[in-house]
Amino acid sequence: MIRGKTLRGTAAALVAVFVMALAAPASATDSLLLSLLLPGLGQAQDGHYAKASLFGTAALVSWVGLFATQVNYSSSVTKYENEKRIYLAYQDQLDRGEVVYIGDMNATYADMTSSFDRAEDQEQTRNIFIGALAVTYALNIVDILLTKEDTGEVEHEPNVSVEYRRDELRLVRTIRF
Amino acid sequence: MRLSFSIARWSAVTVALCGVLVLAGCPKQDDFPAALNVTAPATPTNFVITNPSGTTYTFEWTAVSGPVDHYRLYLLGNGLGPDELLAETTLTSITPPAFGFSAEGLQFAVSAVSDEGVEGFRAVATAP
Repeated sequence: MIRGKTLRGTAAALVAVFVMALAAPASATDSLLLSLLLPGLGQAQDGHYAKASLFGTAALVSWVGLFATQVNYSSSVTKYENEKRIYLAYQDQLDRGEVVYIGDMNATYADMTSSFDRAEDQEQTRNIFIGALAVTYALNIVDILLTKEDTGEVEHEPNVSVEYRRDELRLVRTIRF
Repeated sequence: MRLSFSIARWSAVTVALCGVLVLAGCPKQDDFPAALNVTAPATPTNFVITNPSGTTYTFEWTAVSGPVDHYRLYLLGNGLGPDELLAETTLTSITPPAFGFSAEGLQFAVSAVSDEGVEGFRAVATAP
């Protein structure tokens, strides 16, 4: 069942992604968008392979865990909803004048309780993976925005320079103490 | 390796949309319902099966205190098949028509049904 509150929140997130993708400067957008696709891709493009591996692994583990726990959670919720439907149908049977065995009602209530508790536990586990994924994406994006591209060049102040004076060319070496 | 600008942009949007659909479309268990407000009658006691002759059996039990609409008599399947409802009666004893076979060793059960239609737990006995 899709909740209105969830739809509004996710629609807002989608709009934010659109605005960010359209408004970001072209020079930074490639790495940022790659990181949105999969954490670590932006770092890999910028040459930071260690961080790329770390973020990529964390994201993949989180996605796989989220998928697995979501499947289990959905299955538990379906089972709970079926048990609840059966249990509530007993009242309809009684209202229609049908005989209902107390043993069946008690067994269904116990199954419904067990399914509900299992669904609650699996929802918490799923939410852990959602949190891990959100943290991974957030740290990854912050890292992309704050880290410069690694071009492999070593920057240092040159200590040798060339000076042009009238008709002579001087080679100057600077020594700092 | 660099993806083209438009491909990277739309890929990121697609991934976000997929994530949105996964999380927004997931089910959620509703609030747990309250237990049904029903009262079951007590279990009949002193349930006895006698075999006056051939394949005819008589079933007797002690009446249950409290409001009872009628009693139900079952032949239990014991895992080999479903329990079979043999008869319903407002009395505390019944002699169904002859079975046509020996019921020796078979298990029978009797239960009370309240005015609301709630059937209580069953008393079990084995045919002699």
